Amino acid sequence: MTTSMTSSMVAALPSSMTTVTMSSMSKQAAGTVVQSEAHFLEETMNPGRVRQYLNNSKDYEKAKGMKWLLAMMSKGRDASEFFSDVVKNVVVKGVEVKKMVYMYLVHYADFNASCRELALLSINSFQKDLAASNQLVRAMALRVMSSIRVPEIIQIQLLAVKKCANDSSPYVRKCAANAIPKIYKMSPDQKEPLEQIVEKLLRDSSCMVLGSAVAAFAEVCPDKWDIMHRAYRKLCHLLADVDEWAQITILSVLTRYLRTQFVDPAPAVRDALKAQAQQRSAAGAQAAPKKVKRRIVKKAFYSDEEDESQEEEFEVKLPTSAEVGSVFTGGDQETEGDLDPDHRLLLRSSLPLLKSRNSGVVLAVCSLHYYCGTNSNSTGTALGKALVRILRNAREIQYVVLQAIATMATERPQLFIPFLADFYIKATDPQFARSLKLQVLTALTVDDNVDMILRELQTYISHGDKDFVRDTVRAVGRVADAQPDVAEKCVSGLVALLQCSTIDSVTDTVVVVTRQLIQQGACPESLLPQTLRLLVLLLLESTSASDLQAEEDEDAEGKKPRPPLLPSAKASCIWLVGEYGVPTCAVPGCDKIKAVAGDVLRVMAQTFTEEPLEVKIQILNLAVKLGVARPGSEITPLTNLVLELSRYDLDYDLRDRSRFATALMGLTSEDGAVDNAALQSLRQKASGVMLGVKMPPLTLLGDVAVEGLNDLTIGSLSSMMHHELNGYLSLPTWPDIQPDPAVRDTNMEKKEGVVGVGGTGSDSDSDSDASGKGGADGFYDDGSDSDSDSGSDSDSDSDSDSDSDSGSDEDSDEDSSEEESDEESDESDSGEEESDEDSDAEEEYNEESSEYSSSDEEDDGASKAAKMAAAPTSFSGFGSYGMNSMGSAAPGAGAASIDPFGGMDSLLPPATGATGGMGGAMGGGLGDASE
Amino acid sequence: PEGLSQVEFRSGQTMIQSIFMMSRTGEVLIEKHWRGITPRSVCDVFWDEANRYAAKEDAPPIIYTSKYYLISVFRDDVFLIASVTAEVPPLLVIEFLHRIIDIYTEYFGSVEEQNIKDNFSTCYQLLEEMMDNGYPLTTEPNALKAMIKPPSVMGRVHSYATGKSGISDDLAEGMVSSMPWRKAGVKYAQNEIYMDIIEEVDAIVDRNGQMVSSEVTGMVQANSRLSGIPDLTMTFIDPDVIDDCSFHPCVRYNRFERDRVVSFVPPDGAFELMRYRVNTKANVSAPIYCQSQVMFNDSQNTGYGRISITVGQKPTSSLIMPSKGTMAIEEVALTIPFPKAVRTTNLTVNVGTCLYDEATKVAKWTIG
Repeated sequence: MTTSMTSSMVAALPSSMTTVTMSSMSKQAAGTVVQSEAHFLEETMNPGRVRQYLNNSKDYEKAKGMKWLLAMMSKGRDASEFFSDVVKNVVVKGVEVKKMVYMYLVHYADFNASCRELALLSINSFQKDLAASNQLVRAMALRVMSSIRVPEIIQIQLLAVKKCANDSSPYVRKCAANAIPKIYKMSPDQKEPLEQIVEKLLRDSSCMVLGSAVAAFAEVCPDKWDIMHRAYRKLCHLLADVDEWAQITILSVLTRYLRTQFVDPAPAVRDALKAQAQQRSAAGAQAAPKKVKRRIVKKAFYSDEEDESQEEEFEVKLPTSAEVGSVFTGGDQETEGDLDPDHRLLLRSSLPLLKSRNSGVVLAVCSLHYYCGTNSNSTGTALGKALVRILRNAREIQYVVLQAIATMATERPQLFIPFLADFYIKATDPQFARSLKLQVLTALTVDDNVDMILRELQTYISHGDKDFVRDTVRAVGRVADAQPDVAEKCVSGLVALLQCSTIDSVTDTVVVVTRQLIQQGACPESLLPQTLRLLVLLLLESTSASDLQAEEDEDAEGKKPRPPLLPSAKASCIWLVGEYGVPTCAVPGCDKIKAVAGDVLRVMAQTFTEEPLEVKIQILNLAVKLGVARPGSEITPLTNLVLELSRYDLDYDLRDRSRFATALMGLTSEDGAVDNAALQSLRQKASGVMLGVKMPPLTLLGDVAVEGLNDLTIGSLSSMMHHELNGYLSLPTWPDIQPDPAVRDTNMEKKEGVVGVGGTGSDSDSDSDASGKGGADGFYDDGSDSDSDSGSDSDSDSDSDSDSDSGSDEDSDEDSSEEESDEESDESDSGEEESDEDSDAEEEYNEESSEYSSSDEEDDGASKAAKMAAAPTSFSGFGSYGMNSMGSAAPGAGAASIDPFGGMDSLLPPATGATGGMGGAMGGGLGDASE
Repeated sequence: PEGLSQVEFRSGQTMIQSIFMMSRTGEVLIEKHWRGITPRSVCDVFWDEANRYAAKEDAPPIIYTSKYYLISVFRDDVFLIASVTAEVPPLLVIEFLHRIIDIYTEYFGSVEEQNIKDNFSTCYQLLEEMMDNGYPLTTEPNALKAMIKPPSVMGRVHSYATGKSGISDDLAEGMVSSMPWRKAGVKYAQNEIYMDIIEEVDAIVDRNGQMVSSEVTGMVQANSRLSGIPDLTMTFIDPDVIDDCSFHPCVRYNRFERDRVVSFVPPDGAFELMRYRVNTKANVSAPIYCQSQVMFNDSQNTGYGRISITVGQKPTSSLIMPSKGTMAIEEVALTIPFPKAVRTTNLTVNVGTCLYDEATKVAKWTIG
């Protein structure tokens, strides 16, 4: 059995920094003795005392009271009787008490009618808080008020959200975005105004807000793409800068966006892959002719042109791991060349996120590329690698990722074949991981690795967990099915296992799998006779007919008695006799079984009444088949006996079956009027029905890909649960004709926008400042910046309005050249060194969204560099990232950057002076400049 | 086929409705709701399901009840259960639940039941800040710590004496900055950053002692105590060793793609800078070997068998450095699972100690 070992070693840090061992950080753990809060949970509460605390004027007494209530909530008790005492405390100044009061309010506000009524009393206080100068207080008030699920106040909530969507603080705007779905859930008829707010927030330029805005979009109006167009490019550019949770949301929304706005980048491949997956699963289904067919499809899949090219590439093999991915359409370049630049933009900007520490982000990126990518080799390898990397993670994450991989591997095994060994099962893997890994392993089976996989499966057979062993046996069956070359090995392995296994459930599975393989024609002819013989032997051995038992026992002398077969195995064996034991059976190597078929029926008929239903049905089946095939022989009385027995069986299904079969035999049990002519014609058709060639069953390799099954998006909860959940949005199919790409250009808005921007229109860079700063103004005032400017609400309103306008204006300026210059500058950048260093540093910052906003005065002459220089003085720049800054970042690396740095000299001295030794923040380039 | 009206009312994914925290014994420690109340009875459903498995951690992480989907995480002896009612990215939920435990661990030292109870109001405060309407809000430890001070002895004495709480009444400055992971205004008299590199070898060895597969993964854990906004660069002597890696959000991904240099502005305090997989051309051999021999002779039907296990050190050199002396091997422990049919064992070792757990039939040999 496999063993896994873990050892750790500490190596020296290969960097310029000093390496010291880490100091212990868990010092707080030691001394929580003083005033632990556990007594709130453990002691019984005295309601009177709690009321006293709540009504006390001291904050810490109130806090004590609230803790009692929280503790009650924790214990699952109803604390709503204190509602009136708590509501009074919403006006409290202290933040700790306030927060606890808020938590309580949200929990109980719609608990019952009186609570709802009392909750209305708190509204005034929230409205006051919404106008507070402290952004945290504003945000908190909005969050709580919008969480109170009382229908009477919807209009007030809506107003508050509208107001906060224009707030100067991005944090408050983010909370406004989060509040939108709350209101929508309570009252879906407010959809329209809510959509408008979503649209407005999508125009925001702060990374902080965008994630929540897109989340609101996904929940409120997931199909209203026309408000997404303008945000699309910005989202792509800022993707790396928004927080990890927002990345997941944005990626999943944009995946669907791509599907509606662009055409399939690799249509042929996708269909071919799908077809191939289906064929693989049906492999071996029709023995020889099937194999040919399968090959043909594989061919179609390897060649770009698809179709038509079947014959010539007849011999093509599945790819080796070395040429992995070459399977996909030829070359990235050609395919990428056809891509819409906007489509490519998202694909490119999402790729670096594969390095995220958050597995959700990684999976979202993979899903995006899987469904909307070009299937190029390099991307394929990167995706596979990243998925395998996040596999080494907490077990829950492993579960989801493995599930996703299992699905992907069915359609595109090439992605994961290089990482085969990572799917070997470890001793420490939990049960669900083991079965999923088995699924992956079987899906990854190709000519080159089938031996390795079989060897691995062989090890698993001796595992202690019976269910796992049975899964393994099934996996062996699937491998044999998909790879006819190794079928012989698989079947002989199974036969060997059959002879030595003492665990009935395992034997059972082996029999069923073997039966299935024989049925699919996957069992090689050389092995067929002996396999059939063995199965019949097993069947007879386990039948209680004493005479035969004795006979067989002589054969099997010295052996330990095997446990009797389980019903499903027994039924499988009888079915085989019925199928291969009839004289008309054309499969070679069945002579022996034909000889004993009659005897088998005789034995089974004897024990008929004691068998479980599953077996009875097969006995009936066998009796009818033999009866039809050998009319008038010694079989007929046996057949009639079985028909009679089943007709009086307790089970209604079996009785019905018996009636059908009786008719089919041209017999009747009815008295009186019987249409004898019809019976006779039935009898004539009987052999066609019972003995004709039957379609073999399909073995599925996975959940998707096979026609008729739901194709749920990888990484969704629905795909984990195998059914569609509420709110699941399936991926749209690609449009046949490219929708107008101009919708993402913002020329239209430009004309209107410029007017609103006012003085800033002159210089494109300053525009981006404005957009970055519009929101910043208000925020800075609260913060460290000495600038005294009390960002009143009306102020900030207009600010952020012009903000978005200028942003879009800006965007349109750059758009035309954006794509090309983007890549160009990237390249030239890495090429040059010294001369480019300044701009390099700048670019870096842009990449990181570190657009540190500066104060107002700089606005006019302002360049990005100036802002950066000013950054260390007040490093409270906020997350906004001028819509343009990313777009212009790349061009900025070229000529544009010279200008800003001219302006920087004058601004640098104060900046460095203020920051002292912290100048390091600016990175190498700027550091040099300051000296 | 959807009608037009249907499309109109189509609403997309939702988020976490409620979160429950459950101790190993099934006691609910924390419950918090964001999108309406989830009845506590779902916890019973979950608990029944978890109890169906021999080891509670074997229970599948996603369970479907009649109305709710329960996504759970089991770590450090507590369960965190999130209930959702509609489509949601499952990994987002799982990662978030893990993040909660990370944060609690950072605040309270561990998520032991007692620690949670001792600080339950802080737990609620943290949850409140970490999530809004079921959607993650503030999850960076630096930002959270600026808003809610971690409990400490001094803090408690102080708050007891003055009635002041550890809850800040203003938004942390760093939070709305472009670097939400770093708090502003950090000052140290002595500027230093500590780094630990921890590498793990995972290997599968077959019964003959042959290495079937092995992989080496590593992580860089840092503890930053630097003032201001330090911008750091870490270079590698041989970046090719890194096959694939993931970074803390503070690292500039593009810079790494381009120059293979880790460039970042660190958060304050302890954090995990990066994880990586080592590019092992050949299988890395484990530093120890382990050989087992199982003898089971049942001709007399005695039911006795014998196993003997030998563990020894293999001379291995580190991947990064050429062998300068042998590596010291410490804390070797061996887990030996016995089949369920085993009634009792009699184990003797010549080094270390060996403990056999009757219930799980697992022996643990600690060599030291």
